[in-house]
Amino acid sequence: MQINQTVIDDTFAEAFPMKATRLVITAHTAAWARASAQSLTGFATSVIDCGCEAGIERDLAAAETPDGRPGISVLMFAVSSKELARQIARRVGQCVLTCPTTAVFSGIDPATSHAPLSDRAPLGSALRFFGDGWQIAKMLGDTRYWRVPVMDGEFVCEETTVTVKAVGGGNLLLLARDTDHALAAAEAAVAAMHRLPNVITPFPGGVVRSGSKIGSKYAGAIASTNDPFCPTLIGVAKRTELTAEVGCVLEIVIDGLTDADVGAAMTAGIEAASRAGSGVLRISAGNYGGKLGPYHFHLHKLAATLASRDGGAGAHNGPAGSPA
Amino acid sequence: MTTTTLRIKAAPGFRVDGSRLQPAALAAQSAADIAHLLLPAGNEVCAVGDLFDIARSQESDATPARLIIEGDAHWLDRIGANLAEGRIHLTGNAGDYAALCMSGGTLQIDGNAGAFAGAEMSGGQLTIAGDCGDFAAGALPGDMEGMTGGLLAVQGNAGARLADRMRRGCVLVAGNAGDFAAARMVAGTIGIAGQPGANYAYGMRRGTLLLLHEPPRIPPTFAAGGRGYDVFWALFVRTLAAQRDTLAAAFGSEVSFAPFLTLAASALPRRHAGDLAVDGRGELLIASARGQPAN
Repeated sequence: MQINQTVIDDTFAEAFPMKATRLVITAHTAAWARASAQSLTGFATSVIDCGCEAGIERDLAAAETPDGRPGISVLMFAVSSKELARQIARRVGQCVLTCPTTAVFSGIDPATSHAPLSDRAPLGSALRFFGDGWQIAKMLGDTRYWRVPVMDGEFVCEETTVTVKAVGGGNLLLLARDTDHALAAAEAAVAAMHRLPNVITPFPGGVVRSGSKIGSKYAGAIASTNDPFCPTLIGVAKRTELTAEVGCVLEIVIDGLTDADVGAAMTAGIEAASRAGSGVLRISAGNYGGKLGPYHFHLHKLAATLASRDGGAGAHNGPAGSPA
Repeated sequence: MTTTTLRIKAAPGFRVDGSRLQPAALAAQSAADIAHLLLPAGNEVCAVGDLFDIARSQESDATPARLIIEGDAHWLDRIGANLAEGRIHLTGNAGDYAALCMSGGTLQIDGNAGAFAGAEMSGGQLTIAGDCGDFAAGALPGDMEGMTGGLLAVQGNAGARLADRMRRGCVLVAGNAGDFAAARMVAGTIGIAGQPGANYAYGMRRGTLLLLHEPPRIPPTFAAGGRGYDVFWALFVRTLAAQRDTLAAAFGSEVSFAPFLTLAASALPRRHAGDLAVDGRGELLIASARGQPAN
């Protein structure tokens, strides 16, 4: 299958169940909300060593937030409810509680969530102890808040945040002619994904160059470099997925609240990365044979929705498609 | 939906316990069975059929069972006591202990209510178009907690000891409150649009008492000042404004409660913290009903 000059591999991305939450951070100005969110989502690229994967979902206008101030929504993903709760407590405690004027709220409405609900993770119920006895709980409607006195006034936060069963590890591999084209296409794809709700791309700038495979020649390393996609190892590694004209491969990892969200983001990424002149030779995806993750995102199926939406323009199944 | 209508024949001349008049239970019985239902009246009992004319109507919609009591029932105590679901509409006055320990559903009283209205209620809505007596939303003598949830809205005046030992929930009074309003309050929200009586917020541990008029005096054990509660205030005024539909449905119009519903997030109230004689984490908020800063 080919879109413009880009071949879409007949493969699939394999994704995994994760636990996730959305936090809404508000502040006196949008800039401070963003400062807090950037801090909270920092060093949250991969669950391998960061504890969670987190990213900024989007900016929120004052009219969209619980307290009528400008805000920002953040998604956090972890491998278990326990680890998610720990990461929420640590990160909110160090990055939101500390940030001037911020307040933090649970961002998933159980009544409208498409993702299956998991449980409620502590938010204010752990942070309140910072108040040293001066903290006050306040029940407003059906929501319990904590008000913790801090030096700029009060830190207000919801007692708990709703968590859901979500999907992590959707991915696209962009095989480009050179670094310039790979970066430009990856940036375009990330920008397209960020226009959609319920997804984040947790790596720096949304893009990861150190795609990994499971296992290593070294004992104790659970993951190591994805050698079949390393351009310096063409002709050296036992197995390579690359052809001689590929100069640079970049990966985009997508976590989303539902598989539909991840699929939509991948579709948007494929569309953006396969525009005419993108210099992306192939789009592939990472999987582990389909035995580890229950969610399989087949690139041809995703691209087919593009083709049907565009009336078939651009996409066609040519002889160059399906390289494997 | 089944609607049961009880029309009062004549005041019986003694007090009757109406706690058995539960909408859902009555909906499951025939009019004849309801007529034979016995209500405690002191050391005696009396039959519903002797006190009321009974009418039934059936509608196809799926709303909860409804009980309408027509007439002046100032002799009928404990109406809506332990109510968990369904709706009761009393077109006249109610006796004492209306909505005692209610946990859900709605009780709408178009007249006045006696003492202990909404005492120890934990959920649901109690709306009183007239005045209510002493100890509304309070605790029974000897009990540690008053109201622990739900909404009590009084369009007229409230008696003494309003929300005594209240722990959670929301009480809104469009008129004045008697002496010792919010006394021994543990937590929760009370709004008084008129004036509170003497010794209000006496022994208040936590919770919020919102006054929409400058009170004659601030209790001496409350500390003036404090800044930086604007986020809480923004959430608070939104929560009050969210009661608009509920109040409009119960009172025909929300206009009596409009001062609570139209508070501006930008107009911070004046805040006093107390009662410092006890825990001291309660707050007295004095806001202007016109949406202007009070300080």
